[in-house]
Amino acid sequence: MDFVNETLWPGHLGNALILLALCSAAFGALAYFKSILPNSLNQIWKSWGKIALIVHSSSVFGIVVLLFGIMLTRQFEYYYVWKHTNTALPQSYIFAAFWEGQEGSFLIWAFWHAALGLIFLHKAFRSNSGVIATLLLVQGFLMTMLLGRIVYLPDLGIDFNIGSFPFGLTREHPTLMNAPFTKLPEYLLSLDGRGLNPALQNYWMTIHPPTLFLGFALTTIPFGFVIQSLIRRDFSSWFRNALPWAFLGVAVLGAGILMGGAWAYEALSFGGFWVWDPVENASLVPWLLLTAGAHMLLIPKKTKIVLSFTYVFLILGFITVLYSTFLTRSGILGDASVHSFTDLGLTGQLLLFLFFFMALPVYLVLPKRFRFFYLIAALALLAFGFSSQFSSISNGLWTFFGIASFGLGIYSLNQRLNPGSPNLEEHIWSRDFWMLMGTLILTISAVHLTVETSKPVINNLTGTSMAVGDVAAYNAVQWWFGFLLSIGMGVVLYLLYGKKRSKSLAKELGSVALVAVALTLVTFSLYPNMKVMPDALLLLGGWFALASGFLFVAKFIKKHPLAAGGGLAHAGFGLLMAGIVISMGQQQNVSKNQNEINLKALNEEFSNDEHVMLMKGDTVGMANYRLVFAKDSLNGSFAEYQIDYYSNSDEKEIAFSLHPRIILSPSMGNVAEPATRHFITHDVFTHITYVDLENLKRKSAGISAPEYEEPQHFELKIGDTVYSSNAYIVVEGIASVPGNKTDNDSGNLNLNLYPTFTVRDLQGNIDTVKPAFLIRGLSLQTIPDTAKGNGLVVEVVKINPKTSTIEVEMQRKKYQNQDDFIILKAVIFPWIKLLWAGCFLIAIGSLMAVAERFKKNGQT
Amino acid sequence: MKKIHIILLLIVAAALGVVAVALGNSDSYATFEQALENPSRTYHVAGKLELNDPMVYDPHTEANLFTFSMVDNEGKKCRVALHKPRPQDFERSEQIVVIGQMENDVFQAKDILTKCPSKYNDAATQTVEL
Repeated sequence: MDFVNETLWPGHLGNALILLALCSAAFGALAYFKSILPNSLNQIWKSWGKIALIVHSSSVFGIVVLLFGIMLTRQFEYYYVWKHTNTALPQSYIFAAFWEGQEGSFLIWAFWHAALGLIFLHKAFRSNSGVIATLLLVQGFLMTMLLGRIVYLPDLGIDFNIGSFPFGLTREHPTLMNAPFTKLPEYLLSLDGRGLNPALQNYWMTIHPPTLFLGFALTTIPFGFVIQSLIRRDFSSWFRNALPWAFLGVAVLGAGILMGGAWAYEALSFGGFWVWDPVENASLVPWLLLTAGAHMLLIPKKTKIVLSFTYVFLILGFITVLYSTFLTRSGILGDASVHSFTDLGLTGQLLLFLFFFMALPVYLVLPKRFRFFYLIAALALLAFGFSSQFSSISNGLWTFFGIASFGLGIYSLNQRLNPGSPNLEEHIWSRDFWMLMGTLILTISAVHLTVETSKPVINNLTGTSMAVGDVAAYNAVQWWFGFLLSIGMGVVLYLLYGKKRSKSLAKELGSVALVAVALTLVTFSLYPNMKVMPDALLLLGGWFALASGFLFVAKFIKKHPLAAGGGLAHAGFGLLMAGIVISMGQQQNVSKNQNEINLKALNEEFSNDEHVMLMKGDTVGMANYRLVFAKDSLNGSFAEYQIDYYSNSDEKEIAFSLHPRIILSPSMGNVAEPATRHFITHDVFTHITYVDLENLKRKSAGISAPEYEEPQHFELKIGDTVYSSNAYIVVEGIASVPGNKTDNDSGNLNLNLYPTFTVRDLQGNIDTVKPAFLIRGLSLQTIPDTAKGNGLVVEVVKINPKTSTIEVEMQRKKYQNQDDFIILKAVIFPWIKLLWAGCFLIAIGSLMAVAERFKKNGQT
Repeated sequence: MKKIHIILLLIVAAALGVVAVALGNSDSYATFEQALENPSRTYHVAGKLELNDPMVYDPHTEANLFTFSMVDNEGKKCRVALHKPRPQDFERSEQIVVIGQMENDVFQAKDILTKCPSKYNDAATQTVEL
């Protein structure tokens, strides 16, 4: 059948480019690896590798451009375009739509690798063939994720797909191919896409993922240096070349992570900037390890311990990126995370990706005679695991093999490390020693996060049913690391490498400590209710790192401006810690519910008064403000609300208005978007947690609200108490009055029953209602009765003498504008600007350090 | 034994301690039955919303209380008192996880996670109008 308007060439071209990119990556990796090994054809292999790299990078760029092209022109015959865009989507969100799906985000990751590969052709870097080879090897794996080939061999019980093809056709997609429209030749003329989830239609979604993926891609470079060093058996000369790249990764990945935090704070309803979501942790762990590795690279004379840690950290920095890819893309996190990807059925492939790069460094570091056995063992275990469908035996063997590989790798590495490398002991007051300790704290922090985040994986392996911890559980452990690191990074700036000690050390550290204590006391006097542990201690640490960093910068800025980068980054970390303690720890809930009804009696632990109801037009006093719910309106796909804030000191003038809104999406669910007013000293954050949207829709359509609430049905016995519509209702008894005789002519039963209820509403009104239940022979008559204060209408619909129960319907007349309310949460975050300033300093400081190192490397 | 080795041992011990804390203090996924047996323990219970039972949210009385019935994955129904406002679009949620503990046969939840079917991949249920 011919389909009208379909443009199929981009799909064919895309397919060809993916295949070309895959083959050129594989060939290029092979060629570059060959060029490192001692043989006579080195130079030829290298030129072949270079050609392959250029072909590969061009293909990847081509795929990216092509996918952007069909998305920009909304070619809905392609499933990826259909799924992530629609006609109404503004072009500015095409970037966001591009990496909303797994395929696009793999592509943006691959794009950065391809770009980095080309940078490594520059004469300053091109001697690092092993790095390029590693990049291409990783690219090979990434390209298989885009293949979209189905392997179906029913006889062998094999049925799986390799990758997910971004240029697949809508009408051929497994979930749509049976839909009637796919059989119509003109389906495209009226087909619109599903569109981008409105929660993702903001600029954060445009900048956060690519930054994060550039950070991920940058972890590959130090890993590549490690692989190159293991092949070349060069255990020393590569450090200075890898150093700036490692710190560039630290800066970019850190910026990417913090952007995610800023996004969560500004546009999502997390009510904070960091909630230890598994996906957040999954990108934080590689950063911690990469930061540890980068600092190990700084130490000029490495002892054996420092040397092995350098390798371990840089390898794990990359491996944990792959692990986090597995966690977020395999669907294993399931309910545990709010923002993991849809499961595309690539679990096996993602595991292979992970295992390959876990085994590669171990394989390379092993003595040649053991390599073969290692390879066979690994392949056998892999085959066994996949053929036994990940049985518990194979899982156990895999875990054992993983731990054994790690031990074996470390042992072999130690054997290999140049025996000539200094085997001395770190001096306690040396920079080397403190850096080592700092990286170990980073590691313990990473271990904690990994274990906590991996609980769904552990559950899968061992059959337990552990739940991922909540924010408090993470904070209770992680603050220790924040504190110890802050103190350590403050001290380390004034120490020297090796055995020498700065003469002014005691004086410098003394003045730093003095400033830190003074700042802490000032803060403490501003917030006297601050807890000593952890808040005040962490604050002390933060101010210490800040003071130390700034004094260090002041000392170096004239002589050596770029050398000040490290000091600036350390100061930034300190400021970040202080900012977290003050803005999060001292956050003030404006919307404290002042309702007099106390349901806290239930359980103190469950008491919650964060959310408060605001009736339209009402003024509610909250903390330093009086809030008025001024306006609500339906505006296209937004329900917009206006909250006016009056300051308590000024009666009439509106201090400011906030416009939180709800993004309406019939197909993807409604999403609340908070509104925040920024001041230098604090932010006022307002978030609508519940609203009767139907009421707003009715109002905008000019339909009046129903007069009564939904009726509720109860079956009750005498003495029962029920809660309905704002009131407690007790069945007191049934008064029976014989009926009028004149009605009794037929000889049938004639009885007037008056069940009596006491209605006690929460405003304190008590009333007795007596609905009538009249038996007139075979017919019944019921007369409802209304409670005066509460307006509750009670009607007895049935009396069961057998079970001695009565069936009652209760319904309350709504009072005027009853549905015109919003439930609101409003929080003041004091000095949250400190937190952002800290983030900014970390990024600037790291980038300065990167620039300095690149410059230094270029000079010599 | 060198100083550094002692320190390394301490670090390993600290790491193991952290792992023990993470695994030992963990809340568990459970069923209502298990929550009934251990009323003072906090559990995560996964299940589905029972649409036939009344969902009561009366912000005019208490904005931070919402009660509904839920059927856990073993099929046991239980009343849940969530100490938060009613989640928007609650009736559409497909999967619910409530976090809290059992008290007098009512599950007192301090938090809730809901999954809307449409937020995820449901191409099959999409209707394309022609």
